[in-house]
Amino acid sequence: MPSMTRAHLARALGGWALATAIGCIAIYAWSHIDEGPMPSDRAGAWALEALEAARTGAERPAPPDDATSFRAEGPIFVIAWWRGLALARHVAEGSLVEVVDGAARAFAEEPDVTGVAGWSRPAGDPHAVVFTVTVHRGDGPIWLGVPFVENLDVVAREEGVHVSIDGRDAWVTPEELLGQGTYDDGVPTPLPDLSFGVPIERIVDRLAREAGAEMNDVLERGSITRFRASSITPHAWPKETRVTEEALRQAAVDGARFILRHQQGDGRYTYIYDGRTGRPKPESYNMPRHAGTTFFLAQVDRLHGMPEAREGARRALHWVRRQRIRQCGGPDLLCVEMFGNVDMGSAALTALAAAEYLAGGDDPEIRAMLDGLCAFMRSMQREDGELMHEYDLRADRPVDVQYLYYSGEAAYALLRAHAVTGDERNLEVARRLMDHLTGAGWSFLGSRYYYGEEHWTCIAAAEASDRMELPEALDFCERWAHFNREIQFGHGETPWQAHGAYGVGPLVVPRLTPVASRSEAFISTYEMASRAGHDTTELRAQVEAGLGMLLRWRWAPGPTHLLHDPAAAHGGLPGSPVELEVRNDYIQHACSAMIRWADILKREGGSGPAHGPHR
Amino acid sequence: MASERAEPAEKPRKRPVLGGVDVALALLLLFMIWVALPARWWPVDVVGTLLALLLGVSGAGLLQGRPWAHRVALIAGWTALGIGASLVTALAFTVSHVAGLYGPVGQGGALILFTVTLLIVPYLVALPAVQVYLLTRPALASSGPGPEEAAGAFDDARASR
Repeated sequence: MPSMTRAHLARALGGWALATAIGCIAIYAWSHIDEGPMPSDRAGAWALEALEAARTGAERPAPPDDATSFRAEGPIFVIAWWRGLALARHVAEGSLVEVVDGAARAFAEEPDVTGVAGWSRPAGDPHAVVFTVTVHRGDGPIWLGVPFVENLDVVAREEGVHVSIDGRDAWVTPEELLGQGTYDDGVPTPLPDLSFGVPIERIVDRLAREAGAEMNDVLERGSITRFRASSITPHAWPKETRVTEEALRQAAVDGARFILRHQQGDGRYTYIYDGRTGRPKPESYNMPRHAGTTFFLAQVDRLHGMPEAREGARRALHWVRRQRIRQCGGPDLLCVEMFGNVDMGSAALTALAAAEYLAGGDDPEIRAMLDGLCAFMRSMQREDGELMHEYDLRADRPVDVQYLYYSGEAAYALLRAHAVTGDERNLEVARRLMDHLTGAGWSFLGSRYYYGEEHWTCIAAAEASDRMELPEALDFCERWAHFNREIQFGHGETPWQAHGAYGVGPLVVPRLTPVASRSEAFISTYEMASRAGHDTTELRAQVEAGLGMLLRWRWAPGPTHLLHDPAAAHGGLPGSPVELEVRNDYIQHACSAMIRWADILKREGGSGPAHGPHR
Repeated sequence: MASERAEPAEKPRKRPVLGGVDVALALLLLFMIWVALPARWWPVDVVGTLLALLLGVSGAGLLQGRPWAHRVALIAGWTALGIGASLVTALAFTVSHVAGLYGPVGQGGALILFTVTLLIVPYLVALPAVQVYLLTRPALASSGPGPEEAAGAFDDARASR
């Protein structure tokens, strides 16, 4: 260092800044794919019609001129699907017409395709073989070997992977990766339900074998690239839908029908429906979600008039009453047990569902259960207003622990129960709990900048607003809504049609349930703010952007080529744009928000405007 | 690097401001690595701790006016600057890569990256650059003070307030 001078320092810093700037430009250019063209809508529709005509033996329609002239950046992939499975794939370069005609000939000679029952079904039959056409639009490199970076190097839903070795090629398209459930399966996180990125090594290994080589051979002398592709499918998913009262009501009713279609004889629901297999996914049953789903069924009947949903809720509540109710601390204190555990969430949401059911008509057994559950919740309150969230059945005493959501759920349940039964004790306990949740419960250094998932708290606050003064609650919920507006995606901020969703960047595909549950909360905040005479313009836009996201991604009918039974899956809403599984609470939160906003639009005297970016 | 003129003789002189900054930076780094970071990862733990120790030794030497302090402080300054500059560059490259792959990083993503950059630049780029600046001599002969005088004057002026 003795020879170092200030000039050296200035040169070093200048060189560093310049190298960084040049490196940024080079890396951007290296990783960016300039998307090649897609066929026109007319040419795309012709391609599917021509393939369908070949399957049914009908005369092939004449191709439009642009189908004859269209050529992709790379190959075009034609895939035959049946019951959610890719039966066969035809990959070729050439004009769209040449590739489609080639695919039609190839499939007709393929026993794996013509041998399935769906091959001879008439056009339009939901169980017929269907086709997709995927168009290569450009390729780019993958940074293999760098943990996390390699998992994020394939953009979900947009990109596939191509392996080439010794003149042989193997491809996996975005539609196939989506159908295999591979997106968002690369990097698990400690957070439940959250993983992201693709398992790139697994994909490359599979493609290497498909190309007749080992993965190491490909790494040594082959090439691995990602390619951008877009697909022409029988039904668009996502499907842009205007946020209107009618659209929201239809979606909520479809969601309720989905739940009822998959309700078992004893009153339980299918917890997770796997769209790829058309069957329930084996997972432990979840009591709070059973109760939440029941609440939604009772709610959609109360707000829309759907007797079959009310009947489904009745069966679900009686299953709980017969099978899962226990005494916790006394004969009048009823709790809900599952797998030996008793928690506040199960009791609170069961009480909420019971109260919602009773709001539409009486049932003495359900009323008695509601009284017992409320007595149990009241017995779990601490001096400071907070609730204890567990009960130890063996020791017969409460356990003073707190979990996410449960206190907000309990507050809402007690308030709804008070509205139905008139028991003032429920109101008093709810008042102390609400004071805690929106006051001392969220007061610390930085509490203005950081929030948890507070949807139940704000829903409860709106429920309480006609019976108690909670200025802190409205302030708290408006601040939370504002915080979320800052992280709500606008148009073009992610590679997916995710405007209206919440997230902090494009790397993780936005999940739909947080959109749904926060929309529920912001609808409640909207109601409170309206009553208080506050300006609700931004809140309204925020809610409708969120609901637009949910309408866009619901299965109506959804990606029918990837679903085992599109009719059985109709009305479902998956966990994210890259998932094909529907958990019962996904529907509950989304459809509850939809039916409530539809009700508000009706009360306000008209359908809302088309949602759009709020910033 | 080539010397442009002879190095002036080292004087055992105390420099409380530069020394204090180095010690504070060392403590901050150790706190951030061993208390604030939620997970252990050896590249960050080892490199960060070694840098903190180097800055701590440099700071102690400057505070006590040790004869070797000037040289160690320069090494510490350049090391911190190199690591900080590398981090900022890696961050910028990551943003470029993400933007190339996914499109815009979004308002939330941009906010997070900007915040991280703000946390790195003052402590691991700006402060080390100032330290190196004050401890090195101008490239061209000038009527201004040499590095020792400049650094000393900085501390003297600070001390006389």
